[in-house]
Amino acid sequence: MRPLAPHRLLLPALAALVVLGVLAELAIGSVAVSPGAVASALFGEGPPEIVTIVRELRLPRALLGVLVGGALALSGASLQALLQNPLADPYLLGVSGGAACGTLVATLLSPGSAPGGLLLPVASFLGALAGVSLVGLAATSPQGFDRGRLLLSGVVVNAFASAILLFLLSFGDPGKTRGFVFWMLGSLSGATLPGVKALAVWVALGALALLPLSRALDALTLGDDAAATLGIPVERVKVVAFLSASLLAASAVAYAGIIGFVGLLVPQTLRLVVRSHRSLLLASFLLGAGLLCFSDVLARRLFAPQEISIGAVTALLGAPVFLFLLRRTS
Amino acid sequence: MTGDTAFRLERVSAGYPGRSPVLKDVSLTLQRGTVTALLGENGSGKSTLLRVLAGLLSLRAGTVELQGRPAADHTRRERAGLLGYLPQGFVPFFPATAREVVLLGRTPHLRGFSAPSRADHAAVESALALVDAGALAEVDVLRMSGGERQRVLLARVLAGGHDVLLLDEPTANLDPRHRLLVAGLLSEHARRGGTVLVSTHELDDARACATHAALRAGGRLTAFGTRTEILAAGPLGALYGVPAFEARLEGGGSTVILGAPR
Repeated sequence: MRPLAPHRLLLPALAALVVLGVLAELAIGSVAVSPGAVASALFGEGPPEIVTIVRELRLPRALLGVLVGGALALSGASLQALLQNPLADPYLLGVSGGAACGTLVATLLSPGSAPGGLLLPVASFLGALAGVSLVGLAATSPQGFDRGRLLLSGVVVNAFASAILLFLLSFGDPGKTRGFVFWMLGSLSGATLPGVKALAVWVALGALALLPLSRALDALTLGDDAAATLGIPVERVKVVAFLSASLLAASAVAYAGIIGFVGLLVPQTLRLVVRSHRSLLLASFLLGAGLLCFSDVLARRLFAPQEISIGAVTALLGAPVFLFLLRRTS
Repeated sequence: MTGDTAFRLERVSAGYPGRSPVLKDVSLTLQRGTVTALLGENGSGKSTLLRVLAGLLSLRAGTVELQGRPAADHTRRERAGLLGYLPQGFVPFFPATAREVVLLGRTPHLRGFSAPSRADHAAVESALALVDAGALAEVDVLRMSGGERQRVLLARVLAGGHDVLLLDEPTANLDPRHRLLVAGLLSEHARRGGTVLVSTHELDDARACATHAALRAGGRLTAFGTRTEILAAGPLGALYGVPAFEARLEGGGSTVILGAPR
């Protein structure tokens, strides 16, 4: 029998990491709040200004971090299984670039749209589908789907999406442009409680669609043909997983901009110890959530009072890991 | 007697979208309790034939019957329980131990979210032992030699407990001892009433396990018969376009040697 001990400890350990990450988000800032005071403030006790800081300013941001980090990591884990490519990631596959274009177009056309509304996530999702379809189309040759061309076409589509973003931004109102650029690079600073609630619904939808597919994703690691002969409805699984992964990444982008490498880094690291996709999907969500909370604390505090983009923090962590993985897999 | 027929193909044509058919007008019957070796040059459509039988490629013409019923009438799960298929030369993308890979072969037997049962784990251990990979159980398949990985992938198919095995070059990359071991496993499977269709370029492997042989060339099945009829100098020399000789062995029996003798 395979020793199960590391698995059993992993999920509780990752859950504890998320709690710590949220606590760090609530406690650390220009006004430092002790863990005890954070706990009281969450229940509305203690000095009113501390309650306001913890509950109204920091809590939405921490919850946004949990949802966005979890969604991106879950999206990456399923895209990797689906495309049987350890280097797949929503950022690299055109999902994020497309989602960013969709969101920006929607924001420009309807400037006052509410953060909890349907418009931004739907526009983001449509943009993500457009981006990922373009990548898929470019990776399809007359001989069929070519996984080797996938990353290359992803890079090109992302460059194309960036160009569209820059084009739209250069025609936008310069007063608003600075905010957009900051959002585009990834930031949790726009967190609001209604936004967090809406995002929670989208993320729950994506996660609930993915979890029942975990056994099928396990079988897909043997390749499409072997999975099909094991009784897996391969095409249906791929469509559902692809849509769910796009929905997760797109809704994360709609609320927090483009945050790269979480979707790549988190599942990749976990795959070293976790094999079944049921555990991998759950663990990815938790590690992504914890990682993003800590990255956000770094983004806020590294050069305080100046806040840097969280996308820069995750890229600083992720790029070296990506290069290491690329060397190992090639 | 349909009860003894595993597969019956009638005038089957099949191929890949946008290209001329790879299989043309193929008729073939595989009886239970037989091992059929599928021989032919590279690109002669051996893999395509196996993929058609595995239900991975739709037909352009003709019919395929699986155990007396049209193959399409079987549910996905029935077919998965009945047929084990080993694709050619697959290399996994993600790290996984041999034991984890072989356990995936039990997928058709798992229900819902339930964990693998004692019987599933027992099937995994016995499949690993059959291919002499018990010692590799905890080794990452990405770190194995090609031959070791090939045996583990074959164990994945064997763990499924299928009646019918469709194996695409299962002995590729194996050393002679393990090739003969695999040949012995296939013979044993047929002796127990199973059916095996195995593609190979190794005449020794085919001779060691096959009861029948089928030869493919130019998209068609050019010959099908018992191993003594087909695995002989005449048909094999014609199939590969090389000199072929029957050599009498000292202790009795004979073998076929391809290429000019020296």
